[in-house]
Amino acid sequence: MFSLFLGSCLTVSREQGRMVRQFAKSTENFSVFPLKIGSELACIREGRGIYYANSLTEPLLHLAELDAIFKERMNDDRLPGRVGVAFKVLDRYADGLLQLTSDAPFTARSRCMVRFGSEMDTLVGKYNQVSEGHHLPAGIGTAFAAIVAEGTNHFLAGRQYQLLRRYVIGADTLVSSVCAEMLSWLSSETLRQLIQNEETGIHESFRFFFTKRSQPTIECDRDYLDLMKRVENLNSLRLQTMSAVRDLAVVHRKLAEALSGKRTLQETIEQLTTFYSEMEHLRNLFDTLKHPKYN
Amino acid sequence: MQKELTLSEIRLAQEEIATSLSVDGLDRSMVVHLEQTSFHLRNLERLLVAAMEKELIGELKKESLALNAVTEEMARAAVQLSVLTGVLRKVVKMVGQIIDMLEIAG
Repeated sequence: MFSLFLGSCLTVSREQGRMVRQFAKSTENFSVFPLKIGSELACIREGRGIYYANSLTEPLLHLAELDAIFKERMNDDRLPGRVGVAFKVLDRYADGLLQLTSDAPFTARSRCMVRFGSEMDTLVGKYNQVSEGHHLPAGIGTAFAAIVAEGTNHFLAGRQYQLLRRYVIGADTLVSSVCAEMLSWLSSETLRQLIQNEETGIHESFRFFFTKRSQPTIECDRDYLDLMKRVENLNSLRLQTMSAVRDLAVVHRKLAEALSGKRTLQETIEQLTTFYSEMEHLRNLFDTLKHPKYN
Repeated sequence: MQKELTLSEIRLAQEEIATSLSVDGLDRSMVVHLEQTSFHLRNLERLLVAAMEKELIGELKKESLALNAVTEEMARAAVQLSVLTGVLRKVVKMVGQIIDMLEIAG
């Protein structure tokens, strides 16, 4: 009788563990989305810049414009490394969940992940220093380290599982704060203005080009339409990412509720499945962003 | 808000330059002058865009001095641009009038 009861607990735990792992996998590298928005903006800027440069009849100015485009692109390429700390915190959290829910036994290498916990706390501290508004709760990294320090072979081992549950529930405030930060980034007036500036900029650059070049080719027209389409695409990507971020916060809350027994596993799984499809769709959309021929 | 205003001022000024450049029979030195002005405006636009990107990733929150410098630069640019746009509009109008006169005389 006792072994039957234990068996059913373990099944639920394993299922929950899988659920947590799947969540972590779908949110893995989330910071790539804003990075891709930024690099697509840089590509569009470069594309239209070449047309503008070609409108200049004075050779020195033409060259100076090309040099400026080159310098600007170098600077833009360095920007992704400096993306907001909030995105990195979420990435690290998902990395941690993946590590903890891995089927592979803990090895000496995984124990090195204790360092990962302190890195996570450092990131949160850095965010709190920079952020002018709300602060993220500290101590998530320490909670992570506690699980690893248990040193058992599988995360399903009793105490370790309890710690994982505490880790996810404890991180819920962190995840919702980070999501709020991401939403404010994606919905910011500055990002909207940057996208809009490219839209009007494409029109302007081509106007200059068509003014000075007497024979525009069909290829130029295609490039114009292509660049306009890409800007339009960026707007819709921004909105879809915002919707995914909102859902991410909701789904994490439900996941934490399922782990704390406030919600049934079945209803959580259904919501998670919808979220996974949304995330997959979003990843596919971002994958379609092509590398411009100007590279 | 200041940046958006300045960016739209730049667009307006560039529009005027493009209109001026499209006028047939412009003197070569006038063309070079207009292109130079347009190139300066492009550089100003790049400066603003770079500042906006920095602001977006939160770098400017800690660099209040840099932010102040950029804001001051933008305020100065906005004034210069309004003047420049006014001058350009007058130039375009004048060139148009001269062409009309030449056409009538022709």
